[in-house]
Amino acid sequence: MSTDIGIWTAALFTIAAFSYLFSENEMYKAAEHIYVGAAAGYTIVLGFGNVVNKGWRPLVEEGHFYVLVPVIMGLLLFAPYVGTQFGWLRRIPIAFIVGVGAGIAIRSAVIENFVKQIAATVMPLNSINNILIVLGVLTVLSYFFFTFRSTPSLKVSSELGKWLIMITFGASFGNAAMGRISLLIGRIDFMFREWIHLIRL
Amino acid sequence: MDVLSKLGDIDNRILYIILILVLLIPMVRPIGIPISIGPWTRTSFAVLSSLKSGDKVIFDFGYNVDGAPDVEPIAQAVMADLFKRDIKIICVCYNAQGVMIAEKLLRPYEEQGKVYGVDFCNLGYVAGEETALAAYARDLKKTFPLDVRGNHTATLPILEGVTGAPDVEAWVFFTDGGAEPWVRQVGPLNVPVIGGLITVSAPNAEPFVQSGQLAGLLIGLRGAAEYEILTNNPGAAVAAMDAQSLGHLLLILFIVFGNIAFFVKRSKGPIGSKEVSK
Amino acid sequence: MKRELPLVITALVGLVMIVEYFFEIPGASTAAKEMQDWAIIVAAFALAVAAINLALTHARNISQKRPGWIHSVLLIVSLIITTISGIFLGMDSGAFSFIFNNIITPCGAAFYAMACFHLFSAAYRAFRAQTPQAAALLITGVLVMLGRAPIADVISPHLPSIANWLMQVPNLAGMRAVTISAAVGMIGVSLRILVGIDRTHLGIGQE
Repeated sequence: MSTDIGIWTAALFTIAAFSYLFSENEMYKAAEHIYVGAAAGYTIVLGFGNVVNKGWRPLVEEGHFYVLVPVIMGLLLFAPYVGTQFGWLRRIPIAFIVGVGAGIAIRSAVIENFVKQIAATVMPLNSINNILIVLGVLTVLSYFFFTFRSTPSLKVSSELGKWLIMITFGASFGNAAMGRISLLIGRIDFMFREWIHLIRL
Repeated sequence: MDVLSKLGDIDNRILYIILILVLLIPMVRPIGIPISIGPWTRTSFAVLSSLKSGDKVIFDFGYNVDGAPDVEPIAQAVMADLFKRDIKIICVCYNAQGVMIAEKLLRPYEEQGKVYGVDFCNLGYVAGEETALAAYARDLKKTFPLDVRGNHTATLPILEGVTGAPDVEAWVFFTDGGAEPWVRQVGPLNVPVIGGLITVSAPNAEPFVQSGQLAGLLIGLRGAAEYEILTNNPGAAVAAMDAQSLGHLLLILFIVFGNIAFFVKRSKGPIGSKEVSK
Repeated sequence: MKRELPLVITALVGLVMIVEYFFEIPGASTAAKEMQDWAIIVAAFALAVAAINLALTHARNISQKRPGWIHSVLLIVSLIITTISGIFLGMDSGAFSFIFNNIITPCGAAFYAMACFHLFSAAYRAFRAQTPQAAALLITGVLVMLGRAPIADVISPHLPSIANWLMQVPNLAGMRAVTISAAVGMIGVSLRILVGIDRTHLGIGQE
């Protein structure tokens, strides 16, 4: 068995977390709250580091005064804590972040998620797989035509698309299950190799 | 028939104990089931094995500790391979927790003699997710003026001649989310992008591999095991594959027995009908 | 002004980001890069806001002695200790590393790994092939799981090929269609935000 205090701490927290499987209990709640607090603290530390490196240092040490604009916008996020009458000021930095994010999303999604994916679907129909892929994409897309008037051919295409979506989701389910098993294997590996030394590599 | 219908009433706690035992026993007493190499790992290995000593690769840590058991073995396997071949690794972090994760993975190599700033570096994390990625994919030094150890990135020898993605030989990201941010922001920058994905996200990334927007995929613990075999460095991922196999079989058995119990109950008539209408 | 100013900011900023990508306009590239940098700085402050909100909620629990307030004490204490050790001792300090490696990592991994238990329980009790389409979903899932497990080669050499084919042909087709549809949706939502039709992110409500 390990004699490392860190590993013992980790093992006890793991047991506390897994205890929920048998019933909700005080040990689980304590572990959950300690974890959430620590994770939130970690986020604050990272945020503080970012503000110092990207805001304070360029402003104070390098004299880049234009950095004052985003720093002030960042401080406006805390405006509601000063008084409810200042709550609306928080919208300014949020509007800025959302504007940048939406702009980046549109410009990249148009080319990478839309145009290139359509281009990749245009392939020579010289094999069964290629034919299945092209037909599959078209039928699944037709399933999503909710605002089109339903014609007999659209109904057939849409029905085929529904079947293909089921197969797609089945593949997703299979992969999700595999992933979850891997996550549990990771915890079992820690408990029985690093803590109890039952598993030897 | 009674036994079959009662199969559906087994207590959850018994199921959990069976699950733990089925996963634990092959880890304690390995079976040694052979592992074949899948097409995704072969493609990724082909790209990474074409790199030469002195080439620079960016490792982008985009996973949290929650998904680490499925993704981290990939990072470990690829890192071991690249460091063995003296390929330089520049670490950046898409996720906040990636900072500590990267430091943890890099520490053993530093202790073995790899020099920080020359053989590897950790530039850290900036908030903003895809917005941040869009920025640092194009200009690392501007987005990360200091690295996690407080060094000015402009002075790091490993970053000499490196501004952004086009200046490195490959960009390898590890994520417990989807591959799309990297496809959108790094893919267009003329650099091979390889994704180390959590198994859950693998189906969503398949279209990007086929279209060529991703140069390769390494999928979950299985992908890590395959990479370890290809690089002749079997480790923890290979050791976990027996448990993975039996876990899959157990899940399939549970689905089959659960359905058998359900259909037997349903075939029993009025009581079965009540079960269906519930 | 309280409603219009944020909408104008969103529209202008988004427009600069889009125009810079598609057109060669002098100054647009520099402006876009600076805006990305500014967004990173603002996002850094936003990281702290979420954590502070959490702390205030639990501080309220403690001051009002709501049920479970003892747990809120644990949360606040662990938040303060982690923050102090990270900021004043440094992220490479023993204390901060201890908290990350021995509290955050095992808890996060364990909470996420619990999904495996629930998955197995659900597989036993809820995954029913009640309709032909549900059966198709389950059969595909089973084939993919079986084919991707190393034991597949022992059972049958065709299983891995079947699993790979399912991933690379029908799954590819379905996921590609979903990706294209999602891209259309993302573009639509982004445009609605940029032109001010969708204002929920500002807490104003839709037009």
